[in-house]
Amino acid sequence: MSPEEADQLLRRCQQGDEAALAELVRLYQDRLFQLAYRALGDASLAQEAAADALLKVWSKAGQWRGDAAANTWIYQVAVRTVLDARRRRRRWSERWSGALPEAVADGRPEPAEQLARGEHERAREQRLHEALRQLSEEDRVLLHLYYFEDRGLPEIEAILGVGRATLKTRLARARQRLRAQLEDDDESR
Amino acid sequence: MSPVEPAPACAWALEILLEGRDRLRDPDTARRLTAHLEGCADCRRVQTAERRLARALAAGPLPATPADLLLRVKALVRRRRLLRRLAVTGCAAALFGVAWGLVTVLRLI
Repeated sequence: MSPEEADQLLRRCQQGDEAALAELVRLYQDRLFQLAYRALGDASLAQEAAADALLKVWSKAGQWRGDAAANTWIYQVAVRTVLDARRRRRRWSERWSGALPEAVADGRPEPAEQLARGEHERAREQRLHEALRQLSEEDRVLLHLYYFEDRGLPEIEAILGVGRATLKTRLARARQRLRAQLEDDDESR
Repeated sequence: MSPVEPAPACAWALEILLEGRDRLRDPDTARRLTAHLEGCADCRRVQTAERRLARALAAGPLPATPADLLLRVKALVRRRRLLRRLAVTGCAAALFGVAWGLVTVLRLI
């Protein structure tokens, strides 16, 4: 989708065009669901967060003034919603159980899929998954935007509202942790 | 080459490899990086590690997007509208009640 098309879509959302809502969901649902899943690590939480993010984009579209590109603005709203969902869940969990929830729910593949994979590959994937769990939600969002969506640091900076130097430090730190995990895998082979 | 102070060409290449994946969409940048990597084993190692990391991350399982997401969003939009209408109706009823009360009091006086 070109930046102009995204701008136009958001303008139609501002006017309350119902067809624009359907188009917004069609165009962004996969990306926002994946972003939420990477950050939250749980499919049902991710679904809830993605739906909430799309609702917020729709209902707050009137606040978009064109300072940021439409696509960037949509991601700003979505990332904030996803991270808020995580914070709300943590607060709720602390209040009612007195304990922190699991950092990320189990994202392992289904048993049938597991059987089809090699033992080593599964173990390696699990360790990488474990390393991802150790990262903060913010860092997982950063990795998702950088590695999966191939976004540049200037755009990620605008989406996350974080300075370039902090962003570089966080990216380097997250990368170092994951690489260390991958290297451990090689050594244990 | 010291890892603390890389040569200028390496510094540029490392910046692209580690912080500027998106810049590789520019054919000139991609060509310049390829040319540098051909002659620099240190940067090639970084590139290999970076590719491996990206591949490992991409290989992780990712569930499919739920098919009913649009229905869910539409339901949320309807609920939001309903709540807004209820709030407006509630405010109007409260204002009417206050006005009615004032008129009643004024009549009694």
